[in-house]
Amino acid sequence: MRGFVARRLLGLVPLLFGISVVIFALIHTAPGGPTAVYALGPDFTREQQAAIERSLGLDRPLAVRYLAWVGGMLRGSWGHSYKDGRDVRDVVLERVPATLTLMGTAYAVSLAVAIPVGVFTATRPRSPARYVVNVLTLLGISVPTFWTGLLAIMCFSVWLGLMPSGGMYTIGAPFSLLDRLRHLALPALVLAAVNLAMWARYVHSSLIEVLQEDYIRTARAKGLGERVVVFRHALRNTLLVVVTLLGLSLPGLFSGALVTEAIFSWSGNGRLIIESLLGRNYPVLIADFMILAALAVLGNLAADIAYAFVDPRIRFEARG
Amino acid sequence: MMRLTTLLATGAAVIVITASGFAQPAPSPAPQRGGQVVIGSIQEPNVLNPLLTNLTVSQEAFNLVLDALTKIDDKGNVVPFLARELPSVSSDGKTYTYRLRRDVKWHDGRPFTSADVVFTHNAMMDPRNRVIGRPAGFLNVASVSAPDPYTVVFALKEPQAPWIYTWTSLGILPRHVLEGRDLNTAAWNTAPTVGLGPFTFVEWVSGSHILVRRNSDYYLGAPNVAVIIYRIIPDSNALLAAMERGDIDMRFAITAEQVPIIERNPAWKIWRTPAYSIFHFTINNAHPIMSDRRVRQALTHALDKKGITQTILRGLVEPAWTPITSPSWAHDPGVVKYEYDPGRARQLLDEAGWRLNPASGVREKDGQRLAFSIVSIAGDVERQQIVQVAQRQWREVGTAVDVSLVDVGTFVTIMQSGNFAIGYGFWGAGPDPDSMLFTWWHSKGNNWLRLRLPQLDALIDEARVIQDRRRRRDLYFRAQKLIAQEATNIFLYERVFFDGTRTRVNGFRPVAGGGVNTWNAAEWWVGR
Repeated sequence: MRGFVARRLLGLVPLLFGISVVIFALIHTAPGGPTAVYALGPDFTREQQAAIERSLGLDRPLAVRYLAWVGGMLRGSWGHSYKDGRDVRDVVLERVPATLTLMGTAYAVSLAVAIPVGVFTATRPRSPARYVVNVLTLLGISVPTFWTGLLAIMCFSVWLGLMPSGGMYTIGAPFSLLDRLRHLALPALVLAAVNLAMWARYVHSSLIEVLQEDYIRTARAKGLGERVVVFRHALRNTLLVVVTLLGLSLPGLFSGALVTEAIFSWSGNGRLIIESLLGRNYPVLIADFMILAALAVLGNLAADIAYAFVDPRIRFEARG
Repeated sequence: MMRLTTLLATGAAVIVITASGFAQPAPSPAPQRGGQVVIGSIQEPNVLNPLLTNLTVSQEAFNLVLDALTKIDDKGNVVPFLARELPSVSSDGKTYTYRLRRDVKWHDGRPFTSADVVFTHNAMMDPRNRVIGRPAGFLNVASVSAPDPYTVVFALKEPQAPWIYTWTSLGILPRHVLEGRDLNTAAWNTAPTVGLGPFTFVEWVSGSHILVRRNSDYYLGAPNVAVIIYRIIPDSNALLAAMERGDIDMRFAITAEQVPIIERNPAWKIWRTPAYSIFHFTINNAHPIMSDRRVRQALTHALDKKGITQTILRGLVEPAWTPITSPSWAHDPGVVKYEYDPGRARQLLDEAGWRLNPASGVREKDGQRLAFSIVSIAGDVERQQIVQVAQRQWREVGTAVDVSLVDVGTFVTIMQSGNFAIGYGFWGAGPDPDSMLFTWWHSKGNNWLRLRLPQLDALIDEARVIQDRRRRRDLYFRAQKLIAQEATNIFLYERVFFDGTRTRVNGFRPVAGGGVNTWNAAEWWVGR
């Protein structure tokens, strides 16, 4: 097991290097540059623009720029944001708490609801309630968050006046947990609805499959109650699916949700990524993408490891 | 987005704000003190250092905590702030002398002196600094000196009428904080705790808001409002919801689509400010098809400006025929107008040798099709609709037009590269006509039009150095007639800013021509 993890972690290094080359090349081949947005106003001359690009090193060949970036990273320097000259590390990391809070809550809510819903629909295949749940989950998957988000704001904030219309807390007020939760509720629920629907369907189909396995029949033949069969024997195996989903969701915890963040003025990482993309803020972009790539790889690894705990049939043994 | 440099251009303007049926400042009762004002903005400032930005949103925010020698007011006049009075100008028009107030202190208590102004000037000209917000007037300065702590003298290389706008709304930098620092990465850029403005910087939570608090020691008297929050709400529908709910008190530059919705809300008041900037189709005059004036004129005839402004823009704006917009003293209403007339357009294209191929419905000349594309910025519904209407109307006269929507960065790169036929967007400018004409029509300006009209260059050059308003206007009229005659662009409409304030907020006076609307934030007050 330890050997397996060590090997996978070691394999991460060349993989990330490969990813960094691809990302670096891709973001720099898009047309436009970090100063283009200022050129819509008068007085900003081509000479000024060229001087700024020289000063940022953008006139050098791509390979040289890449090596400079790698060199910086190896020395622990993430570079400076083109937008405001701040340290990229601060720019990216300051978004983490807000992003984690939103995404973590959304995932937790989704999970807490998706499993019971999945179990319910899988064990009552002919119940009319199942169709209602099916329709709802399908809606959750199909309806875009920019629509549900705005609808939620219109309903709960504008008409009913129960919730704030956006933001992460009441600006200028002292810290209050209740205030934070009130601001968190709508965006987290809107996001949760999407994952919830998807995950419930995964749990549902996985559980149906498991319930047809031989050992379930054996368990039933032994005379175990349905409740024990489902929760003690069947559900444990469907959790494999959940673990996989959670592993794959790890980057999402960091990357945030662009649309929902924009609608609820949540200053998460999703907005940082899209703004950096539009502003051609290369140092921030590459840092963000690299962290995401690393998390994607690590999430897969974590899922693999978790399998061993959830499913006793899976063992990681050094071969050969 | 770029109302910014709008301010920093030219001539002492007499500007009329046509408040056509919109809010007029009512005679208000005595200002009340306290309370907070929340400004909602879709875009976030990049920095609060005036040298490193030309974004309007940045200027709106830094004008709360920084202060300028002079500002432009709601009537379009240049008014003194840190300067005791307007600068005195030598008879040859080449020396500008600013006398500074003696009672001004930085937020940390240090006195403000001429050394700070000189430092700001030098920082602007320092090639190591990645300067973006440099008014054109800086390039004309031969030397700057501070004979005493309260006097700054600028000696110009040559007279320049619009130079008076150089130091309007340009925040002064604190020398004692920034000297010897790398200005590109200074922490002050995003946390200007030491400023001169009516408010002091408290915090900037990236992606969320900027919070400033009343500066009780402000040299013009403590502001009325205790706290101003510049809040970022990146989604325009969410911003509308925040307005409806009363979560914000002000919003600048509202889209035409949302104006009627907000007008229905009695808690809000809409301010209409005609701008100096203009929406238009940028033509690449060096493009093989577009280099023929008859083609450019034909495309203008084929476009129904009135229809577009009445439908897509809800009748909120007026069609435009010349780059100098109607609020300006140099606006020429008498330029040649190529009225909507598809028949005349077809005739002009025939004359230019573009014959209709009945099989394809597209005109051809020497085996080449009359095909080109319109480039514009994606994401803005209004622009998208306008470009689509133009595409349809131009197709009707026998052209094959396609549309390409790109992001801002790509758009600018395409415009600069000259690798396009027609672009659509707006050009910003300052109060003085020189700003618009030199930046966009002079061959030494940005010249996205790829224009070579020595006659036009000469007119712009001449008008720039003359102080006499009447003579300048004659020259600008000639320049505008030439531009219209050549159909260098297809003008669509004069930009109008719609700013919204909640009725409980008083003292708001939108700057003439649209610009940094926070210029008089110290006078705002909140009724109860």
